[in-house]
Amino acid sequence: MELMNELLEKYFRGETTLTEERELKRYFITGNVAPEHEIYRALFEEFKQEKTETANAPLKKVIPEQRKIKRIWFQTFAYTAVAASLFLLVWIQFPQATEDFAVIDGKRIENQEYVQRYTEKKLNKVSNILARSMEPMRSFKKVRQDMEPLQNVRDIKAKMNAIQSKLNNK
Amino acid sequence: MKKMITLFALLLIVAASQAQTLQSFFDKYNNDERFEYVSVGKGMMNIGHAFGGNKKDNSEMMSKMKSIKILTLNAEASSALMKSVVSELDQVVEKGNFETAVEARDKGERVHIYYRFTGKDNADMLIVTKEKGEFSLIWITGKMTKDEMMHTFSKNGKEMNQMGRVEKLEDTVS
Repeated sequence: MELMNELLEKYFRGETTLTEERELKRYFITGNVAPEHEIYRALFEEFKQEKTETANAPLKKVIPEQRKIKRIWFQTFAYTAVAASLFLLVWIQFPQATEDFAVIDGKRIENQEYVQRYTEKKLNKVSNILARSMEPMRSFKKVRQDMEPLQNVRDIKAKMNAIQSKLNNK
Repeated sequence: MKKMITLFALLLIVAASQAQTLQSFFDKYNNDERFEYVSVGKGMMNIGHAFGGNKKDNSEMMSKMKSIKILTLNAEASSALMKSVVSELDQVVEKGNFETAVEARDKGERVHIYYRFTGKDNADMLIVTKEKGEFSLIWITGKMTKDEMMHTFSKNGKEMNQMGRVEKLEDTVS
């Protein structure tokens, strides 16, 4: 009896272990309960009843929904991880295609010499067109260079005119 | 969450439709049987002499280039395909913030050189050549300044730099 009193005190202080709680429950369930402990019987019988109860409808509703959300996130994460791994695997397995190639009549040509010649031909063509277009510019420059002596003649003429006017003034 | 995803997707679509229009132009036609397409990566950049000029300048220029892509269409100027390709390219140039560097014309051959900067010294140079029955597009990407780009074609480049725009008068009537 004393033991039960101690256990009950500990129980209400919240200091009982699981074994001690089991001991208390067993005491109240067996039916051999001391009269001074009768007031606590209802409490421990309630625990027994709760144990046999099944969850009601709203609880059922909430729990699966939460699980479903978690499951969707988990699935999304898993699929993303799988896709990323596959992508990495393919990336590593297959070497990058060469950057130097030609596609002529829908056929891919990876002959580097051909690619190089083709590129050279095109760039040469641009260079030639530009060179030809610049030709008048070069002629213009040449004419200007050839005209330079004439510029000197003009300067000499101007100087002579200045001297002439000075002489006339005197 | 749904709204966020939709907004993000929309942003991606808008960004994708605006950026890389030149890339999408090349992607559209590079496997088309009516076109010739050539791609040269950094590893095969020993074609410097094609630009003219001295070896030192060329090797320096080549080291700055990342790739060259060439798209060629052999078709009559009056054909529907040629017209649609030319008009599409004009839009790409206009929307792609390209600036005209050079326009040259000689005996029915025309060269247009455009350029743009896409980052710190990251440049795109687009050379368009039009002649009877042939339309070529050369796209050069690299780490070049405007001056370096203008000197790409060596001696011609120096004159281009001074002139900016050159047209041969005797052919303006044609």
